[in-house]
Amino acid sequence: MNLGCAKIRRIIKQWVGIIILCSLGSATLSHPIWILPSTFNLSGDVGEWVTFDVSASHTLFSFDKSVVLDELQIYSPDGDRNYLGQYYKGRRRSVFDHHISQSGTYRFSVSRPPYYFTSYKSGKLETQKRMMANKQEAHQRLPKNTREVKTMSIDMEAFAFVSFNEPTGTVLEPKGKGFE
Amino acid sequence: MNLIKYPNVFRALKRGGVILICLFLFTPISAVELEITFELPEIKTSKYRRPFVAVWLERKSDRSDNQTVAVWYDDKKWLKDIRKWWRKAGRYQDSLDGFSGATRPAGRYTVTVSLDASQEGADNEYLVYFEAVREHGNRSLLKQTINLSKTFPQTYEIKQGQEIGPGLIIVKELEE
Repeated sequence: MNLGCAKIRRIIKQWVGIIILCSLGSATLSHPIWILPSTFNLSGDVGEWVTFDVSASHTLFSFDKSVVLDELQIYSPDGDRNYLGQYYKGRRRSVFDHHISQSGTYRFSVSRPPYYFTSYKSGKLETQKRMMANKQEAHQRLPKNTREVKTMSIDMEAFAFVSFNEPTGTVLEPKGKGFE
Repeated sequence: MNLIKYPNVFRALKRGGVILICLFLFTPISAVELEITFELPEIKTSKYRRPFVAVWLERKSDRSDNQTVAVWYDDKKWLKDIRKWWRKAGRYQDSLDGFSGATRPAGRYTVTVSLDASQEGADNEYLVYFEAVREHGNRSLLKQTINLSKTFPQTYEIKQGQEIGPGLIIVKELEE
């Protein structure tokens, strides 16, 4: 499974948009998520509240599907994880507010667990087919005489950054996980 | 008369003199003073608030040597709305002491700043920025390139923007 992992990831980087459009699964699973803060830059001596819209849609910043924010990750400039209080989940968008109190850059991200996608060709007509399976699962489920079997891991994360006074880089440090 | 007897010495002296004169003529000017005058236009509206204003400059070649000449505001909370200045300079400064002040009404104002002019070539070109933003109003950004390698004094005219201008920059050699 580790064989060709780097190559697979490279392919994903190039084709992630298309894969998202093609992939099956629930509606929000197949839509890219976006997070839009009411402001990106703040100044002053005291903190301020910023409001965020989150939606999953095929067009950036248009509202389509609301997103469950239980797994929303918020990191403050000191590197600590902040927790989200109440939020609103409508039909078309989710909304949350966060108090920005530390000078520096905050990171907000929504990710979904990585999943696998296998495409292959089979039959006399060379039909392109696909299944939501990793290499091991695909190996068991694939019909005989399949060709051009490709498995990709799909890891999606949406970010937003808000800076209060001077921006800082703590929340940008790579963690050696996913696409960075 | 001895000079005639010793032509080599004479020639050497003459050459030396020429070199001295040349040195004097082409000694680069080390410092200049910028006299920056600008107008805050009178805007007739019931919702008039005095604008937040920033005047700053930076070296044109690599956008370094960023210097704020003036910033007029009343609450730091809205400093970020002097958008370009805030992102380029304001948010990296620990203190605004020395060049900050309260907002001012419409009128004509002059600020001055001295500047090192001993750089060479493209490094001796500076950009002067004027930015003004008004509540319920607009934001204006004006900029002017000044070339410190040319002869002094220099005059640059800045056209009028919506919230700031017209302006005038006079660059003079700084008397030691």
